[in-house]
Amino acid sequence: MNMTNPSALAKEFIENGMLKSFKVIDAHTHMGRMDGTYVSKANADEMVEMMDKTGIECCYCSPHSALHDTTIMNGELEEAMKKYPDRFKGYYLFNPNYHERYLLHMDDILNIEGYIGMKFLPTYHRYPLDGANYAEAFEFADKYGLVILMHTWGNNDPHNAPRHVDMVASKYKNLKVIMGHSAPGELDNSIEVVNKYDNVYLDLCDIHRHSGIVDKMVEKVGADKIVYGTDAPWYDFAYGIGSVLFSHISDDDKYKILRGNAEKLAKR
Amino acid sequence: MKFIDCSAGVGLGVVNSEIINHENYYVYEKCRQAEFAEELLAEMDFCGVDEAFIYHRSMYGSCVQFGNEMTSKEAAKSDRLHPTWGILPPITENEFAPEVLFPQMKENGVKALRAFPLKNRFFLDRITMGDLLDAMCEKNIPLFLSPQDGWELIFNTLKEFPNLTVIITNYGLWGSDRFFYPLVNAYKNVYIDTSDYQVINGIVDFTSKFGDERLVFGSNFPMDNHGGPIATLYGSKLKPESLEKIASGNITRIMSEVKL
Repeated sequence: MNMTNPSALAKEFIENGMLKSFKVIDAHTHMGRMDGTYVSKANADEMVEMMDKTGIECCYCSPHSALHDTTIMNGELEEAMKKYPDRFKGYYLFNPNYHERYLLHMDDILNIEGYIGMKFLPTYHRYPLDGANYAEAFEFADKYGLVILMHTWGNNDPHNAPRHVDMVASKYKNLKVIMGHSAPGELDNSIEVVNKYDNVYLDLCDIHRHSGIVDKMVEKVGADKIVYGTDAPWYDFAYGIGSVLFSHISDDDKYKILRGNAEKLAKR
Repeated sequence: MKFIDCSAGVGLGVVNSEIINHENYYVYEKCRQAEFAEELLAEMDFCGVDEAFIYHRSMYGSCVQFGNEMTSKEAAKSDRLHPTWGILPPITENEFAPEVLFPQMKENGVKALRAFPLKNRFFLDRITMGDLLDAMCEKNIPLFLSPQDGWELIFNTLKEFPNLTVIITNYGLWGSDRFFYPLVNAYKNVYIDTSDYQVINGIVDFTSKFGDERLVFGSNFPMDNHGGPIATLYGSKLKPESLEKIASGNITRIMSEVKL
């Protein structure tokens, strides 16, 4: 049957298996194999293959090796950005449990081509966003207007709930915060925080899959404050694109979410 | 291309919504639900979904019998909606004995069943459900199962009933291939609902190993939306014949083999 969805972009995706009007930017990705899931495409080369297949221009990325290995730190990311400078932009993973080590190399963000900011993973690192070991990283990011992709989760998470983002954003006005996942379980609180601060954004990663979420986000915060993210290579780029294309919002808003906002965020 | 959604919910959940992130891990977030069939149909129209096999959410939130009644009531509003019912142990509720249940199913156009064993405090094993599950095997009646309380339940059920047709649905956000590849490999009647099949390149990798007849398109609405699974299927860029099988052909075949 013919769908009643009037979106030209949705029709374009159905016809081509990808968007043709513009290339998508994914603001929340990783790289490499990981423990919880079997993935058939995961390293930088394989991700580029999948990006080409689905019309993804660029991934803003923090590899699993950076998230969970404090020895290699951000090495895999830097290699990928060197090999594919237009396809991967980087979040410098900062682990607050080894903050001195990460602070030592912080200037890499300014000196190595491709970095756009930092990645914080408080729940997994068991360290709260408002803890002292994050302070210098926040100050650095604020000084240079960097993007921070911070994992956020609801259900009253003790490390990275919306209330933690609120505390951070009230202090740092120049950095740009992407609330990774938009704190599932506390989306309403995330919306409140995003509406309170000009420099805080919602992220579609994971949460987009639920019925009506994209519509709700656009209605409550506007399309200018939402970025498309997928957690790739955990998840397929197409699923998240579909959540946007089959939502009840305009194609202009879809463009902002799938590309425009991320493009603006990465500019210093 | 024709789309038949193998599993969608109508009705308001007691909690809006209890979402499976992966087995044993729930997130509670507010989704857009379809209180009545009309709202689900409107969303299906919007996304180009022709038909759906539905259940009423009170089947899980309230009780199976009430949920079955509500499912049939909503499905009766459109020939695009097909009811599925939940089951309970016949030893306590005789209406689920095959000789009572199957004529009721036939009368109400029900071709597939669902079970929520832990929620309803029973085991989906031979001791508890032997007669019914044996009869379902004989009649090719599919059973929708979710691993939301653990995959062991599905593994154990299939060990005892290897010919049972099982459609695995609502398996959560994380990739579950390490669980369901072995089941698909071992049991010829196990199918995977694509609604939660988000893992990168998942559909392509799956079909390269098991062919294109073991996946069935689903939305898992309202825990998931329709657009994600639709775009994942188109984005896989499988050949058109394979896409059509997954989108509607496989579920049509499965249901056509039901002998009631």
